[in-house]
Amino acid sequence: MHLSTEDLLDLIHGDTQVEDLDEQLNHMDRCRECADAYAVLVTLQAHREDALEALREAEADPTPNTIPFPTQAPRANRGWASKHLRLAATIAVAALLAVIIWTSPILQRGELVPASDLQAELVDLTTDQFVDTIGRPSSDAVRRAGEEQLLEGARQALLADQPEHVLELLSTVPPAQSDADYFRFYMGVAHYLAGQPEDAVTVLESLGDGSDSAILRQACWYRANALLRLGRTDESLQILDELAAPRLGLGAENFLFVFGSEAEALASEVRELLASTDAPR
Amino acid sequence: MQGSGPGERQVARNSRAEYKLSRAELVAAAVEQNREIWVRLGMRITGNRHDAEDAVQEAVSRVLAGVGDLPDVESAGRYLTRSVNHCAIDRVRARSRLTSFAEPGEPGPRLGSVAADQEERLVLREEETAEAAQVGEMLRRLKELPEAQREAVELLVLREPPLKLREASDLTGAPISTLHSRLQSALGNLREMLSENVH
Repeated sequence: MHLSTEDLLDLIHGDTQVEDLDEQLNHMDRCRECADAYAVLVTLQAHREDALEALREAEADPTPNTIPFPTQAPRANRGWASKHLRLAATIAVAALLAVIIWTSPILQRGELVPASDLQAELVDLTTDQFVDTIGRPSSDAVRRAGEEQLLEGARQALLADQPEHVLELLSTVPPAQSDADYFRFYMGVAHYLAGQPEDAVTVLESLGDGSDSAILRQACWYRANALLRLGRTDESLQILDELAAPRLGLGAENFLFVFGSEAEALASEVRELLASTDAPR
Repeated sequence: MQGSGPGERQVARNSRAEYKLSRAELVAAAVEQNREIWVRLGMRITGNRHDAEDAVQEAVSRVLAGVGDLPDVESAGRYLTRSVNHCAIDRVRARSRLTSFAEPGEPGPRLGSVAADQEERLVLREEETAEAAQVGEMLRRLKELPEAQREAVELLVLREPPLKLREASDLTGAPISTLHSRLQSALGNLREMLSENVH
């Protein structure tokens, strides 16, 4: 079990009880993930003034988010190893974007994802050059490239805490077959963050056991939180208990990764609240 | 002072002596119980035992010189835990400042630990230079975090005094679970950079 966010914050602020300190230090001796998280906090604290200055600069001069998407699962599953196929995909992205920009009022207002470097590289590539080089992309390639672009746009909007934009973005194109899980996941999280727990539950529930494991646990976390907001505590606690159970394979490579201990902490908080208020479940 | 005769001054001196002795005894008891844990905490923060032991020593001195009531050994332990934490972080901060001001190619001075020979100092210097580069990279990544994550870092980690999760939730209007996620994502992004540099 990992150290919780509260544990790490207490540690870095010197608020940890002495009797807990030994156990937490022992944990970090064994757990690289928590030790690294703590090292980040130590660095931030040790360079507090510089960090605050960096935050002020970021606020004054906002730059596009360039953080890579840690979850690589969708790309890895696609098998686009071929260089030609990659080029075809990038061309297809540009083609699809052109169609969307032509038809979408949202994009015409300039509210969508900024152009990527990839698209910028394509500006000078004419259709003739493209055909000479690799031939025309298949309709399937166009579709998949479009999906990828939309998913990336949704991810960026979620990272920027713009859930309403995610909903707007994903509603412009119906979920496609190959990435339906990711569409639903982003849509569900966006509903939750936008204060629409009922919709979040409905969408996230549709992610079944066959879904990508990289998103399934995160989907469960958000579904449990949405259920809590709806007052459906029994269902929420059941999910949180499952998340709290030890399980391999969950790591920092996931997007909004959730520690089992977070689920356990939330479940126990809910139970304590229920016990103290004797509220009906 | 009028009305304060030699006898009264003697009483006042005795009271202060008793108070200091009592504080010193409480601190000594807490140190005896927890010294090794604090040294481990200091090592986790500073990365080496020498600085960690210096941090504990400095923390004890600060607490001994402090004012205010220390009712029992547990209170002294809590006070010292916080003080060790601050002293150790201060050492990391001071170390990086010294590295910044050291001449290129010259081994940077280290607080409380003069290396035994030139070769060892050069190794330390290399480590500190790498540490400084890592800090620069982390600050760059910090600026690139999404606004919501930056806000979580500022409120929960950097603000003085830092906010508790519930306080930050009240201030921002975001649910506690959302703040959890934002801080975790921020740490995850910054931590990735640490891992990339280490591997």
